[in-house]
Amino acid sequence: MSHLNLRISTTTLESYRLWSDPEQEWMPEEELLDTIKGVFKPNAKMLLGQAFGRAIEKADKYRRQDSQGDYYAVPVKDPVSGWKEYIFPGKVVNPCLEKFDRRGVFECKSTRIYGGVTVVAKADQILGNVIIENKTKLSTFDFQRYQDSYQWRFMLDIFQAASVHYNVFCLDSDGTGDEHDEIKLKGIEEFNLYPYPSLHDDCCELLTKFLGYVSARQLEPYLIEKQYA
Amino acid sequence: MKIADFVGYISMSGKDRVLDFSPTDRWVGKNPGQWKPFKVPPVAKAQDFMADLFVKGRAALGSMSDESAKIVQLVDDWRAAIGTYKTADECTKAVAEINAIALPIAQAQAKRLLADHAKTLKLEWKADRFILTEKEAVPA
Repeated sequence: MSHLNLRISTTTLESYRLWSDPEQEWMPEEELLDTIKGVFKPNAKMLLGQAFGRAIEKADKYRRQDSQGDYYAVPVKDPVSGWKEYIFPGKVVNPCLEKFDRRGVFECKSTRIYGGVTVVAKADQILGNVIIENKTKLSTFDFQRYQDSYQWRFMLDIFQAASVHYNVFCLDSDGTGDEHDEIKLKGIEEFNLYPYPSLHDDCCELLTKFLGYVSARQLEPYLIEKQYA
Repeated sequence: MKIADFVGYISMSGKDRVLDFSPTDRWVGKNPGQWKPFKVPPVAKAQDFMADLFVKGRAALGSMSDESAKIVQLVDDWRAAIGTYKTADECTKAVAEINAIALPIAQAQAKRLLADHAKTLKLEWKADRFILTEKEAVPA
C-alpha cells in the first residue's frame, strides 16, 4: 500500500522510537499499536499529569479557597471509570505558576510533508519563535530521556522554531498517583533544546523506519484517518 | 548540560581535533548556532579560540531573540486584527492571508488565534469557509 495520504502524529513517531529501542523492556508492542490505532488508555499517572497541567494552564478557573488557604480542584475524565476530581494544594501549584508564562498562543498545530506523508505536531505553547512545553513528571527526572526524544526534534523541524523550552514540574505522590494521593512538588526543571544541521535528516530517518514497520504490520488504514499530536 | 545553551564534544578525526555541538547517539549536544563540526586549532594558535566562540555563541542567541521579538509583534498584530472580526466572511477572508504567512511558527499561531475567535463567534469551518454553526443559523 502507498504511504501517500498518511497522516502521522509526532506522538506516534516518538512512541515507535521508544518501543524500537533494542534496550527497552518496559513498553510492550501492544502499547505502540494502541497509539497507532488511536486507542487512548491513560494510567493513573497520566490522568494526574493531565489534571496538573490543567491547573497550571487555567489556574483561575480551578482555584478554590478554604480556611487553610488556596487549592486547585481539577476534574478529569477517566475513559474507564468516569469523572475524577484531583485536589492540588496551593503550595504545590503556585511555585509552578510563577514559572508559567501566560504570553503567546496555546495549543498550536502545524504540519509538514515528508515524501508525501503528513506529520502533525502540536505545541503546548508558542511565544515568538520559541516552543514552550509544560510537562508533569511523577517518576525521577532524567534529562537524557528528553534529549533523546524525537518529539522536540519534529516540533523544531515542523514549526521551524528557534528552540523548545521545557518546564518539567516534578511531583511526588504518596500513592499510585490517583486522585486520593497527597501530591508534593519536588522541583521544577527547565532547559532548552535547539535545532542542529542534521535535524531534518534525523527526522526523515525515523519516519522511514516507522513507515517500514507500518507496512510490515499493514497498519496503513489506521493512519489514513486523522490523528493529531 | 541540562542548563547550558551550548554543549559540544571534541573528538579526534585523524590528527585533527574536531569540535561538534550537534547531538548524536553517542553524546548530548546543543547547537543554537547551527554550527557544522569544526577543527580546533593547535594550542599555540588558540589563544583567542574560546573567547571567539563565546562571542559567536552570544551573537547566535542574540539573533534568535531579535527574530523572536519580530514574530511576537507579527502575531500580536494578527491578534489585534482578528479581534475586530465580527462576521464569517471576515474570518474566511483572513484564512488565505494567514496561509500566506511564510514562517510556519507564525502561521500556526495566527491560525490558532483565528480558530479560537471563530469559535467565540459561533462559527465552524465547512469545506472552504466559515459559517454559523447550525444551531446558531437563523432559519430562512
